[in-house]
Formats: sequence, C-alpha cells, structure tokens
Amino acid sequence: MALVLHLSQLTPPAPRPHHRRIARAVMDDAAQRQAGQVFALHNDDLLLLFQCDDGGSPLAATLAQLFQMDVPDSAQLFTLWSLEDDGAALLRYAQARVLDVPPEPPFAEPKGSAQAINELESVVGQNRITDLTQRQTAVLLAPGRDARLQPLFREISFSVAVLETRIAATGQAHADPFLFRHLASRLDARMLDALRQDLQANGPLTAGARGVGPKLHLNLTLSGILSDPFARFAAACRAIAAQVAIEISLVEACADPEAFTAARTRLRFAGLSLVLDGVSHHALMLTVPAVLEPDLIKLDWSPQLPEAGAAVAQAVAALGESRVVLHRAETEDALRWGLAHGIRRFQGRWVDTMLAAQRIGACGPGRCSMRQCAERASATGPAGRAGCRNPALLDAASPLAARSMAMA
Amino acid sequence: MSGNEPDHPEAPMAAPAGSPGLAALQGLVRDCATAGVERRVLLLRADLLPPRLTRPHHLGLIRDALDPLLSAERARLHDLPKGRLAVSWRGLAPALLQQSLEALEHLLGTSLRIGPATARSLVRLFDLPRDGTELLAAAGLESDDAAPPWRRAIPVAPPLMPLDAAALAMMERQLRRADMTRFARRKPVHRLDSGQVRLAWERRCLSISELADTLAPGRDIRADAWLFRRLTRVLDSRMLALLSAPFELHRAGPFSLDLNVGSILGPEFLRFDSALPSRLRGRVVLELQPADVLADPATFAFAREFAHARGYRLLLRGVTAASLPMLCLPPMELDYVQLRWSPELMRVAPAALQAGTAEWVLSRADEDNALQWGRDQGFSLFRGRALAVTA
Repeated sequence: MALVLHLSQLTPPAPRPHHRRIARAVMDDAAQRQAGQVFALHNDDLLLLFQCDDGGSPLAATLAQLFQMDVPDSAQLFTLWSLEDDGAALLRYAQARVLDVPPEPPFAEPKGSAQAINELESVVGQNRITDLTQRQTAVLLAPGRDARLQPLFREISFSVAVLETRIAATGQAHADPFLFRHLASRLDARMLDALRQDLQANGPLTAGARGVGPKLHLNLTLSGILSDPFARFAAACRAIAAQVAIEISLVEACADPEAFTAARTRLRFAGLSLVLDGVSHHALMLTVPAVLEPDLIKLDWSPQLPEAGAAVAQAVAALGESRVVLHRAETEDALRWGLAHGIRRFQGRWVDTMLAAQRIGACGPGRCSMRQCAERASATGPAGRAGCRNPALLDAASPLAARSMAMA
Repeated sequence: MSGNEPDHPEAPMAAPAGSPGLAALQGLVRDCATAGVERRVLLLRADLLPPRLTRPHHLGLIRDALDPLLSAERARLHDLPKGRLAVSWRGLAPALLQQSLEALEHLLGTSLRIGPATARSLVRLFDLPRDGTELLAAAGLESDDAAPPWRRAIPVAPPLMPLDAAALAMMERQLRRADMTRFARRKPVHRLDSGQVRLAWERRCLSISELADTLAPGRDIRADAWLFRRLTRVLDSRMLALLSAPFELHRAGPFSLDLNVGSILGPEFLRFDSALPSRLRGRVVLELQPADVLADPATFAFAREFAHARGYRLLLRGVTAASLPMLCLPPMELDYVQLRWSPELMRVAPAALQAGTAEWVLSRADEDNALQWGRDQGFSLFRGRALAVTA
C-alpha cells in the first residue's frame, strides 16, 4: 500500500513545523510496525510505502483526526493507493513530484527570543509614538440598495511591523505568543501616557475620543488597565466624557478572570466601553463570551468560517448580531459571510480598501493607488502620510464626509 | 510546566518605611496645628483587607474610588505605608465624599465581593487640626500589635524585583545547563472510592520557588504572568529531558505532567514518548491550562488528537469558580477537568458542572469542607492535604 499525506494542501501558514514533525512521527511509527518507509516529497507531501492488511484504515483514521480542524474533508488530506491496482497512477504521481521545484530548506519558525523582546521594548522609549502606531477604521454597513459604509470606530494600536523594522527583527514579536503579550503590556504604559497627553492637548490622535470622528478604540492588556497610567488616562477621559472603548483579548480574560473582573469594573467606572478582541470561531465554540458582558465582540474572520457549520451561526445569533464585529475582514467572502449571518459591523483590509476607493473618488482619480491611500490612512505619523495631497481626507474616515469636504 | 498556581499564598505587600506620603501628611498636620488651618482627611485602610485582595490591581480599584474626592478644593492624595491611602482637602465637600464612599462600596462589592459595612469600616474621617495626633497614629505609626492577626502571622518578605525580559533571557541560558533532578517533585492525586482512598497518579513537577531562589535570587518570577508562561515552556523541555533519561521511569507508576500545548508537539516530547515504558502507555496524564487551549484552539485540537493516539490522557487544570462559567468544556473532549477549590464553589449551581465525558478532579482540597463539597458533587479524584492525611 501507499499513503500520500497532502500537507501541500493545507491552507498557509500551515503546514507549520509541528504539523510536519508530528505527521512524520505518526507515519514513521506506522512504517516501523508495518515494514514500510516514509519519503518526504518536494511539494511538502509525505509518502508512506508499507505492508498493510487492514487497508490502511487505522493510520488514515489517525491522520484524519489529527488534521480535522485544518482539513475537515479527509479526502483532500490523503490518498491511499494499492500498489497492485494503482501502481501506474502512483508512479505518475511520484514522477510529477520529481519535477517539482525542490523546496527551500525547511522554514524554521522564528523562535521569539527574550533578548529580542527586550530590544523591542527599548525601541518604544526611543521613538515618537505616532511613528510606531497605526489606525484602522471599522464600519457599519447599512443594508439597502444604497449600501453605505458608516464609520463606527477607529482603533489605534502599535504597528508590530514598524517596531520590528527598527531592530531588524522581522517575525520576532509574534514568534512567541507569551512574549508578545508581555511586550504588549509594556507598550500599554507608553500608549496610555501618549494618548492622555494628546487628549488633554486636543491632539489629532484622540480626535475620535472628543467626538470629532469615529469613537476611539484601544487594545490593552489587563495589567495595562490595572496600572497607574490607565488611572490617569481614565481620569482624563472622565473629565470630558470621552468616547473611548477598550479592547481586551478573550485569552487574557479567561487566563485571569479575577483581574478581568477588576479591569471591567475599572472601565465601567471610567465610563468606557468594553470590547472582547481575538475571538476566533474555534474559541467561540469553547467559551461563553457573553458571560464577560462585553459591549462588542470582535469575531476573527477565517476562510474556514463558512465550513464551521451551524454552531458558529447559532453562537453569533445568541450573542446578538448587533454586538458582533467581523474582524480581519480581508476579502469580499468575509463580507458575504457576515451579511448572510446578519452581521453589519466590519473591520479589516477589505474595509480599508473600500474606504480608500471612496476617498479616491472624492479626491480625484489618477493621483494615488488604492493601496497607497489605504496605507496612508492607517498611518498616524507624518512619515507614513508623505505623498498625500489631501491629508484632511485621510482623517475624515466617512466617505460621505470626504465627498462633502472635497466639494467644499 | 505551564502551571501558574503559586506554591505559597501571596505575601502581603511590603511596607515602605519613611514614605514621602507619610512625610507630607505629617507636614500637613504640623502646618494645620501651627497656622490653625482646617483640613479634612479621609484615611483608607487597605491594609485591613486580606492579602489575597491587596494585589496591585485591587489597590488600583480602591484608588479609583477616591477619584471624585480629588476634585475637592486643595485635594491631595497621600500614599502611606502598608498600602494605606489618605486624601486631604479643604472644606466639607459632602457630595464628593458621598460619591467616593459609594464608589468604594460599589468597586469593592462588585470586584472583591466585600459588603458595604466592611467597605465603610476601612474608612475613617479626621478633622485637622483637632485630630492630628490620632490621624498620624492611624496613618502609619501604629505598632504591629494593632494589625489584624492574619497579618502578624505572616512575615513580610523582602521586596523582589520583577522578572523582566533581559533577566528572563539570562535565566533561560542558565536553565539549559542546570541540573533539574534536585528540583523535581511528586505530588499525589487520590481517588476516593466507596470510602477507600488510593493513589490515582503522581503529579510530577519542578519546584518553581526553589528554581527561582537558585537561578534568579531576588527576582519575582511570577510578577509578569506572560514572562512566567514563557519560562514554563523552557521548563517543559527540561522536565521532558529529565524523564527521558535511561532508568528514570524504570519503576515509575502512573503520573501526570504539566505541559504547554506547544510542548506536546515539540521534539523533546517525541523523545520522551519513545522512552516511555510500554507498561505506562495509557497511564500518563498531560495537564494543560485553559489560556493555552484558547490561545490556539486548532493547535490544541491537533495536540489532543496526537496525545490520544499515543495513549495519553488530557487534563485541563486551573479551572476556578470564576472561570467555570466562561468555559464550554464538553467540546474540548478532555479526559479530566481539574477544578480549584474555593468557598465560592459552594455558590456554583450543580448544573454548571458540565464537562462532557471528562472526570472532575478537585485540587487544593486541603480541608474537610472541600472534600465534602467534592463528594456531594460526585467527584472521586482529589489533590490536597485532606486525603493525603487519610491515605
């Protein structure tokens, strides 16, 4: 018998190193027990030739179980060949693989080092905050023939890519999720101080908080919310009844429920809204987010969402569609899935592009590409906006406002 | 080692001697007495709260409650020793005072589950210059005899520096060379069945506190939860290497290991798996944390299926009365769910104890009431001193 495991069919960033390592271990194990041999093919697939009396079903069942979340349809995951009946077809498949371009040396996921994170922390102290932050606007898509994008809020966050560029450490910040959460908590203090000063000086970063433009959203860690810089920021917000929402990751909330409850109380007391961030559809099935009493929940879009079945749709309905923002909405498929499930709130690159298209419509064609316009709109510092002839439009967020500004 | 349950209860906060807040308050008392100026002072005795409620975020909440009062004329906040706080202001400001007291009741009530009467008992009002001596005595100059009994009983540890990323990098380098054998510990998990107590398995772990004392003296390695979690990944690989050594598991009985999800899929685990004696296959339990499961559910599912295929059993640890309502346990397809005992569990409805086909384990069952509660719920697996004494 031959079994080909089609790791090449996994959706990037899979196959990740652990997929290859464990699949290889499972197939090596089968090879050892059943007088076989495993071959790694040029396209990342693994081929096992083995003696088999059971039709290969136990091994096939194990592989199907292992990859059930990555490849729900096991027919796409592996192919079983009988050497007697399918020998010629297997040979053709193997010959085709020989013609494949040999793979790059196995890509090792960058291992986040504590030293690199330490350097990233110091970068934050040495740079102007607006050069390190980015922003993204979320919209409400009003239904109807004249579908309009109505800005809901604008999230300000540190640009991890920019931070990494400063110390030439691409991939380090996200390489280790635990170190990344630590880095995020250290960035919070700097961000909170900067925003408080901006708020008190009527600066452009916090225009939304003062009611000029969409509401300001800020992603913070629990330790950031329970820190002194937050107390000072919250006092500044309370003083002007600022329009601010704080986003907390679902994982952090579940990791320390006591600290989460304290943080939520602090937000309520300061008059700030609570948004639950980082909710994947898998995590939605394993938790009860409504218990955390958020004002909004940001559900991460994934191309696997449409295959997730009725359970996700039921969970969204139970939360209330008006409380759900479809986050990381990068494609039109995301929008279509969201609308089909009653979701009207969206944030992501698809929204950025739509807003850019409308700004270009107001600004006049031929000057910039949509990508340039979207990138400049996400920048908070002058360097990122260089080249824009109409920076007021970048801040306008609302295409309608943009249009009227252009006409004025 | 993904565990974050401390080996010991949290030490109470250290009392900085000669704090600037106390000096300023002394100056104010002196000035009021000399010049006959009137001031009102609210003293908040956060030090009267139990240690578990005096973590920095609790103190932050208490400070928030005082915010309204800081709008009063000439208001000033004084940080005092032992976590005490004082606000001084000119005039009576009854509305602002009332607002702060109500906020304090609300914050303490919702977050710390402290009743209004206790909340108010933390607060005293003083009028200067009349009550100056009494205020200073209450603010920080009292002898320890006046402190509540639980505080006198626990020695105050010297302050530790929090572990930062640079110190972690150094500790990781040291860990690669350190001999782990001396830090290895075993803790029993008991099964109580028809009145009979027997050892279900041993929990194999490393003593975090001894490791910290040896490799990072003067550092609080749990001060940053995420750096600590990162550290546990390094400890996982060292623990797995230790157990993979020849003869290490020669006579071992069933045991459990506290691991990160990523560690189950690492090369060290594969080496451990190869070294595992066949008589232990199916008798090893892998313990995981909820945050680790939720951080990447797809990788968790992959690791679970791999572990099950190799005969390991999976346990979700660190579930508490507070986190229980947040989690939907049946779809996690676990073998065991370990619930940490606290009196708050007695208020949890039995219907909330839904774990699918998983069996419950009650940890920190140190006293009879914990054991009784667990038995009432039909639990038969326990960790803690209550059964260890009987066994």
